[in-house]
Amino acid sequence: MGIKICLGCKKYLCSEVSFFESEGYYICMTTKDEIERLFRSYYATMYRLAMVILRNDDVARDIVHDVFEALLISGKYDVSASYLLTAVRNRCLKYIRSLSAQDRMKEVYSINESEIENEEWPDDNTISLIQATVTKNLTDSCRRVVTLRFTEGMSYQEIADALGVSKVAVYKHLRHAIDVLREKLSQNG
Amino acid sequence: MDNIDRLLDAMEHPDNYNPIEIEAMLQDPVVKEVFDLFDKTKSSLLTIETPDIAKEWMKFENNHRRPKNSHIHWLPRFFSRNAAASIVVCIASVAAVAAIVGVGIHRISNIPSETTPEVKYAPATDIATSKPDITDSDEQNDRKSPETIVFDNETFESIISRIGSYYEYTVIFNNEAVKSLRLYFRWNQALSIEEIVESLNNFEQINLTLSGKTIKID
Repeated sequence: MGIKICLGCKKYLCSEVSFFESEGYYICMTTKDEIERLFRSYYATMYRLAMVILRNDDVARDIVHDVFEALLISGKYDVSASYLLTAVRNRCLKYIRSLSAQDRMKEVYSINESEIENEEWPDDNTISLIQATVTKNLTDSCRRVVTLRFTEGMSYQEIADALGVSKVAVYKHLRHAIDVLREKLSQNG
Repeated sequence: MDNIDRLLDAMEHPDNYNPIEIEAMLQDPVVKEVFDLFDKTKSSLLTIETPDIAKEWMKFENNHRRPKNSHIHWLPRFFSRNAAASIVVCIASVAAVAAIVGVGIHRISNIPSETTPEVKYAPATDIATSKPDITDSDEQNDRKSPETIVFDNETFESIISRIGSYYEYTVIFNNEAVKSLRLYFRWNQALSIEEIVESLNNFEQINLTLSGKTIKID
């Protein structure tokens, strides 16, 4: 047994009390409790942020785990919620950047980097405004097209088939929805 | 077909467009704005399930649980050079650990010591057979010239018993659980009992106090 020092509290470790060890670094049980406290307090908020940006459950969960993994190795555990959320934002952006232009188009990632970096997006006001506009200001068929396209991920052809309309009609509904949303959002600055 | 129609088509059939065409399309501020709006609409209409945090924590914890039977030996040269200075060498930072990791496996006994007192490697079998009571002759031997004893993966009970009898202190255990803790510990006999206790207290879960001629373990 070589000498072991906890990355977090810098205390020497006995063989039985280390939570995590890898080549050259160890975490003691007390430090583990500290990480667990952060994990339990902030996991939900961090996951939600990653989900709103990426809308991909697997990737969002991986990102949150990676942030805690990095925290574990850094040995610095007196971090704030905003530090953790910024780490999530940065990893989301890194993920988007790693995709090809085609994949970004497919996933509808507009990669508005400055808005994400400046914490202007995700923004609860914008989210509720979009939700309200889709619910109240669109015709039934228009709303159905938007929902099928963006929450069910159906293709234009599938939507046309499902609603018994032409593909051209689907395009028209989407364009109308955009016009309404743009107008509502611009009214709100 | 205008630019927004092209955007709608590109979202549906991204592979029909090459990256340059896509970039060019998004140069149009109106197209960019619409695409951005689609992005946000998609996010806004998403229903996000509340994650099962207990399950996620268990997953994280299991990824980091101490692997069983892993014995990583980092016994750097650094320690033997400073044998006279201190039993447990204080490593100030993780960077220092990282720096010495490359040195690899060294057994103290293999390294010619340049300083006195001499470093002696005490293998586990040695301790196991001569458990906790030390014979008088051993004790006298120890007295003659202070040495540095290396306990490698020894139980705390055997370490403290040996230390206690060397300094003629009685050991009182108020905490049975710590008896079986296994430690790596360097004991320089030239140091005082107070200094040894201070070093041992650096271990997590070990809490020693001296009172009179007894060492109390809580």
